[in-house]
Amino acid sequence: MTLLEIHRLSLDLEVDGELRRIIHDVTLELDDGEAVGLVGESGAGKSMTSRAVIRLLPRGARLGGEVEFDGRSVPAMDARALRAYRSRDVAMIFQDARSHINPVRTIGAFLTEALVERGERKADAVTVVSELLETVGIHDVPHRLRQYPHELSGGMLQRVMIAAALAIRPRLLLADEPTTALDVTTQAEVMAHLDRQRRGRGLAMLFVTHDLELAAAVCDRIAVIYAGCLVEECPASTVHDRVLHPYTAGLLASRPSATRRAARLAAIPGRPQAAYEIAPGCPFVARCPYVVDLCRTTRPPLRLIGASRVACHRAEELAGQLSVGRFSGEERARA
Amino acid sequence: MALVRVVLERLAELVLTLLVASVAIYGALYLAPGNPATLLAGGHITPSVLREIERQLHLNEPFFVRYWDWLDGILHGNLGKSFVYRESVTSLLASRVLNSVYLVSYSAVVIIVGGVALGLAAALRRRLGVAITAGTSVGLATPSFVAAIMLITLFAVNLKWFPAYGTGSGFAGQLRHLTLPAVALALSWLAYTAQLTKAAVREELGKDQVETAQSRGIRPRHVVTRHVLRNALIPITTVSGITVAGLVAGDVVVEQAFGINGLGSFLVQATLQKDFASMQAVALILVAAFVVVNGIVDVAGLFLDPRLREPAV
Ligand SMILES: Nc1ncnc2c1ncn2[C@@H]1O[C@H](COP(=O)(O)OP(=O)(O)O)[C@@H](O)[C@H]1O
Ligand SMILES: [Mg+2]
Repeated sequence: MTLLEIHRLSLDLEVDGELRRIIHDVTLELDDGEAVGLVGESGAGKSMTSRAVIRLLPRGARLGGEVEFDGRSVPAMDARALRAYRSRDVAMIFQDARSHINPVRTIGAFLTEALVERGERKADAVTVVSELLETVGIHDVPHRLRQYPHELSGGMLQRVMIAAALAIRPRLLLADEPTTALDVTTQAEVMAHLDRQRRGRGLAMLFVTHDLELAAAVCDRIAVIYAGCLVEECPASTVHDRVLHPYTAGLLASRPSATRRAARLAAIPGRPQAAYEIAPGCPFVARCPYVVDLCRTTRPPLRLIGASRVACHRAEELAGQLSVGRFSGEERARA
Repeated sequence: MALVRVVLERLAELVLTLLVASVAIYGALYLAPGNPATLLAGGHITPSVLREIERQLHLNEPFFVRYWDWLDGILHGNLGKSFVYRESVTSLLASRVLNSVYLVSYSAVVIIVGGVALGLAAALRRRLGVAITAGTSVGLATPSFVAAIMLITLFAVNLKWFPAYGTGSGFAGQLRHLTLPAVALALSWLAYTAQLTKAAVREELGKDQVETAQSRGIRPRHVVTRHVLRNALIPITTVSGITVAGLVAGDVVVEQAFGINGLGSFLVQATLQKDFASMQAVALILVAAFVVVNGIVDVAGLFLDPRLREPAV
């Protein structure tokens, strides 16, 4: 069943008094219990897309298109409905837990606030969050609840943030680079908790990351976004064997990996572009090694190819060559 | 308990500061020109009489002996004897100190309540913010004696709403009499507090914790009280402390302008008459008030900001 439907989303933000395009065109669906990884380089508009889902946007933002949660239009909600939606249906996990948790209030106050705010009894809320803290591996709970954020490590704070998100029993988690700010060993640990809890509870998740491999590991499907445009969407299971967009292939190739040592072969040339910088043609045209004239003049629409959707004029034609993992692996083997 | 330990540390610092200040105050007047004995005898006296007076007043003892006697007296409620009034300083001050305490407290309330309310309104309501910022900029540039003259002209002489002079009797009478002086004393500090509150609230409004609260569907009212004002209270309290301490100094001017018989005007008289004991006592009280207010603010800061509670090592 479709839980979240993002249809032709566009977003403009005010920058120095002028509207600037941040998201061109993103169409995406999430089923109940499904995890979708939203992947792309920094500045692509991943955070803004996830924020559009909860309508947490900067002042003066202009939203186009539609975001429907369980059949209800999010942009059309009034203040009251929006608060109810935020306090029951969807929970956001931010990247930087240290700045996103109020430094002068206790961990307990942070964890129980949303529950108490929506009318639950304080004592019940404490019971709920205490159990949750244990499940994400935080012990000595009564003591922790009385502590302040500065007394906890970064990894612990992020687990507190995860517990807070789970506490409201949402149907959808929005996780915006939840482990990027942590050191590598902590990243794995925190990610494991998030993944286990999400699966155990059957929650849907929109997982924002710049790390395609990580997204493929914890999500069911992957959506790749470049300069505010959705360029490819595919099952996570096919990412290593068959990607259809040159940008996705580039992302895959630019990440060093323990299992695929030929990693840096095909790093993407040029710098990432912002949505407002791109010309009318394909957004990736300036950095794509496979450009033809058509790419410069016409923006490719999303087309269904197999189980994937891709916005590339030459998708069918390039299909075999793009599967970086296998290709470079074979190269190595022969050499 | 870390908090208790840190509070005790701060209290110890406070006592030490007061001790150092008392040495400085006593020392400054000890070194000042003019011999109290000559002053007391009133002009022509023989050296033997002078020595006798000096002996009675312990003026020939070493500095630290005299300082210790003075401090010991103060700790027992004896502030010394005024040679000018020939009366104990304690009883001279008794009738005056309350007038000053009322004035400064009234002013402090006006500043904190008014300044925080205006600053908060300015930060949360854009339109209003512009007007308040303009108004407080004028207020900020108005010295208390100018404010006093304007307030007397407008509210005492023209409108006759409030008396211009004296301290009045009974609670209502005192409140009425002290209103204009308190406002005059408060004005520029109120403007300062309002501008600082506005800046602090604006800063907190832009912080991530506010975004988190909004993303969780917390009511705007609670977002403001728990995640904006609660955090902004830390800088606001610090500045309120500086402000109230500053009032102690401004008090001297305003008491003169409105003819209030308090510590400030008494200090001016004592200085003009070279009344050393009175000067020392008033200076010590003013410094003590200053230090105690700062101490209270320090401790309040510990309660407001858990990050400060780690004991210094
Ligand atoms: N408050 C803002 N005002 C204007 N532009 C913004 C704001 N926040 C982000 N942007 C711009 O929007 C674009 C997309 O940002 P974001 O969604 O945060 O990217 P990502 O999460 O993919 O790194 C970037 O070009 C960024 O500069
Ligand atoms: Mg981001």
